[in-house]
Amino acid sequence: MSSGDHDRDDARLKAAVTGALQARDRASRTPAFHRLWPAEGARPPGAGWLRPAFASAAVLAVAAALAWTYLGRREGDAARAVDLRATTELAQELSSPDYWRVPSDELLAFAAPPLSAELPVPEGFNISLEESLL
Amino acid sequence: MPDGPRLRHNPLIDQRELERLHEQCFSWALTCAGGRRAEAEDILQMSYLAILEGDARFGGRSSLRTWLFSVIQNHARSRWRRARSSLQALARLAVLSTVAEAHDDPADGATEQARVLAALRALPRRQGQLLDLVFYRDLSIAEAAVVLGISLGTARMHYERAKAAMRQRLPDLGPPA
Repeated sequence: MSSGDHDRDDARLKAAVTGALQARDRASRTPAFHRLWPAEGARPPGAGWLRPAFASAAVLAVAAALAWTYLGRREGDAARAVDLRATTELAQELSSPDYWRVPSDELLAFAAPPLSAELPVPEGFNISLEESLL
Repeated sequence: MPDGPRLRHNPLIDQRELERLHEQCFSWALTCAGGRRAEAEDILQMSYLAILEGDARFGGRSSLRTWLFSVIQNHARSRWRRARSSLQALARLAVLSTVAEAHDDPADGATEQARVLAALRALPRRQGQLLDLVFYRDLSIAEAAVVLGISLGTARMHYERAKAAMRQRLPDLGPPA
């Protein structure tokens, strides 16, 4: 097929395709632009800010959870640190040779927990003084 | 280009220019929807919504018409994919024994136009769309490639194949009008 034949063939095909599509378009009337063009704010009211609101709430919840976890732990750590400091101070004061002269408030407030454990009493341990001297 | 109101999220688009191109857009949506009018309206409406809200943004790199066609094509394609996956799921459940293509227009009409239309629809989707864009809408192959989101080489190949397939299906085409 020569170039001229090819061009003629293309032109025929183009004319046929164009005619067929024009007929199709004529048969289906174009709807009015304003029927398909969405009006401003066509989305349901509130839909515009709903997504950002959800995102903000989620971020706030995560931030609150992190703060609660972090700060709660920090406070716990601080409380433990204070306890440890008081205990160390108390131990130092108790171990100093003149601990009885200048007792600190902590020392005055210190009360040893009652001993709840039963001391072991071995079988046959209760012997009289005379027996022990023998 | 008419000097009408500009879109808030697409400041390069003039609404009156959109209105002027509306008929061509609907015609292209009709092609993308395989001739189904209701589907074409849906596709065009979704495309307009994306344009209005700035989900599809015109940068002025191509002509407005080419860009509009590509937006419509993208919506049609995603819609078609969803429909296809739904149909496949239904077929897997054996709800559908046969899946027939539904067209509003007669495919076996006696007129030459009906025959040409049937031949166009029998082509692979992309080839049919290429012939529509190049022959009917006078886009260059490069512009058609942009609309369809394919490379120029692929577009040329499909264009030639489409013409060959059409000639094979319509060997007795009349002279050009």
